[in-house]
Amino acid sequence: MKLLPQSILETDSVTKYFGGIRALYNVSIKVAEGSITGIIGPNGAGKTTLFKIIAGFLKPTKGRVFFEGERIDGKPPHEVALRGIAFTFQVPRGLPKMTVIDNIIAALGGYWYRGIGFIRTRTRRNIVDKAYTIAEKVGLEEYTERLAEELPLGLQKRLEIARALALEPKLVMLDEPAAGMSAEEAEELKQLIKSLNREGVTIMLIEHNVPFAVELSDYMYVLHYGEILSEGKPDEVVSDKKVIDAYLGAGYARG
Amino acid sequence: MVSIETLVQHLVSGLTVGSIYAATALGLTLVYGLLKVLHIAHAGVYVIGGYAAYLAYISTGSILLAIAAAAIVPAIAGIILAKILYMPMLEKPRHIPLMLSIAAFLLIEELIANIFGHHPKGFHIEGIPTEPIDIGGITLRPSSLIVVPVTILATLALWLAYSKTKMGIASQALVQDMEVAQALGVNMPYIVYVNFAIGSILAGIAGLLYAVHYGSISPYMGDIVAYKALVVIVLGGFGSIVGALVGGLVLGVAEEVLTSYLGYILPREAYAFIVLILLLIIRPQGLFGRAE
Repeated sequence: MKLLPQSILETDSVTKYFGGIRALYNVSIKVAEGSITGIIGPNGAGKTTLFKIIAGFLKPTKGRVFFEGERIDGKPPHEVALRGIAFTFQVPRGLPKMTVIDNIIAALGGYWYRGIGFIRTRTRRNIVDKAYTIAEKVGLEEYTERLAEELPLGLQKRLEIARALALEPKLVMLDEPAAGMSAEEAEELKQLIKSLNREGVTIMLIEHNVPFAVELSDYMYVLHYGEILSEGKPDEVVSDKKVIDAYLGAGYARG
Repeated sequence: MVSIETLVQHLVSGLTVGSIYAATALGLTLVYGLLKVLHIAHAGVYVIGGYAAYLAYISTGSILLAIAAAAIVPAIAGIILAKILYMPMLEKPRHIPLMLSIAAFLLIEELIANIFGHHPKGFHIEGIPTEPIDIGGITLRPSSLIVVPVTILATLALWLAYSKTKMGIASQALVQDMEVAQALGVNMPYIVYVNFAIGSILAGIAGLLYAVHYGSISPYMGDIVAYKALVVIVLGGFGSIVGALVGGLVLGVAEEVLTSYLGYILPREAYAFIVLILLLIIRPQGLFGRAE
């Protein structure tokens, strides 16, 4: 079955059980091409489980996932990655003992990891050039020779994004990108996400930080105990009584 | 009095035994790097290599076919072990695949003993002289001239493959972080199987080298390798290719020299562990391992 082209990613009634524990139940979301789609919800709502199912690290117990109209649930992670879905981890997980530029170079390797032949010098040069372009795009051009582990958290998150971009993805899933950041770092990150989106990358954002997600998202879903509690434009969602009662608390609408 | 000639003789003899340790440890170090599991069944793959070469040789008389058998049969065995023992257990605590691996090793040994008999089988390859030869006053077993260079060349080839090829870079990425590597497009199962195949070919060749050196094979020839290869990868540093080679050679030489000059106050194996303990006191991460 082919889906309408406007949604690049769609989950259809995705349910996931871990043993007897229900992590997700009948989750159906649509991510419009070119949008920033936010998924908010408290800890344990199933946000990361949903990400992992989309990325291919987990198989849904029930339900289907479509990317560009084709089913991807159950496909191995590397195949999902090479189709154009990249993601960042909540806690930055670069290659800590390597420099920033080497991290990006390693990420660019996605294209030549296939096969077992020797790496040509020309390929290597192209990759290095590309890596510097990406470093510049995410604002890491001054830190290319630093070890990944020496960077402050805000910059490590940028490196995560750089690594995701190295795949030249159509969709980037960001797992709590603003977690642990100072207000200033979060603001800079917001600008970065906006500028990437303007360049045509579809963004899917998992956020705990509601104002951050509200400001960025074109469309939002609220996950609560593994189910979609509400969806819509950000201002509609945060004024939805169900969302206020279950998640935001009475203070949010007033504050 | 220690003469230079006898010292060199002991060194060469130690290097020869050490080469066999190293060749088996290489596969172990590859698997440990990727899956963080001690692949004890690797010693079984080594026995399989010895017997595959033996069967190919006695039925055809061709040394080339014996080498091919020592490579191909273990490669298949290694991939099967990876598929049934390790891949389904990726999410389980690491002691579970370890126990399965020990069980698989014992099973392989006993299967071979039941099929081919418990006793060692003579395995002499024609054209390789068994009589010691004399080079400038140093008496050498001719097999040393095959075993040591083959192992060193194999290690160099492996090192080259890991640092210069796509497969090698993909393996390194998996070793650093399996999930991140997959998110970057690395086909994890494929790379794991390639690694098992390569490691198992080395173990099989080591099984053949054992036969070349000792002139026989036995179903239990893997017993010593099972734990010596562990000593070697601890000595060399977990996951390091060069470490496995150097660790193997150091262990072989240390055993040989210590037993020759101190005598058998302690069994050979005890010297191996004394060397290990001393080294770990000085350098806990092993010779080529990275400190955490």
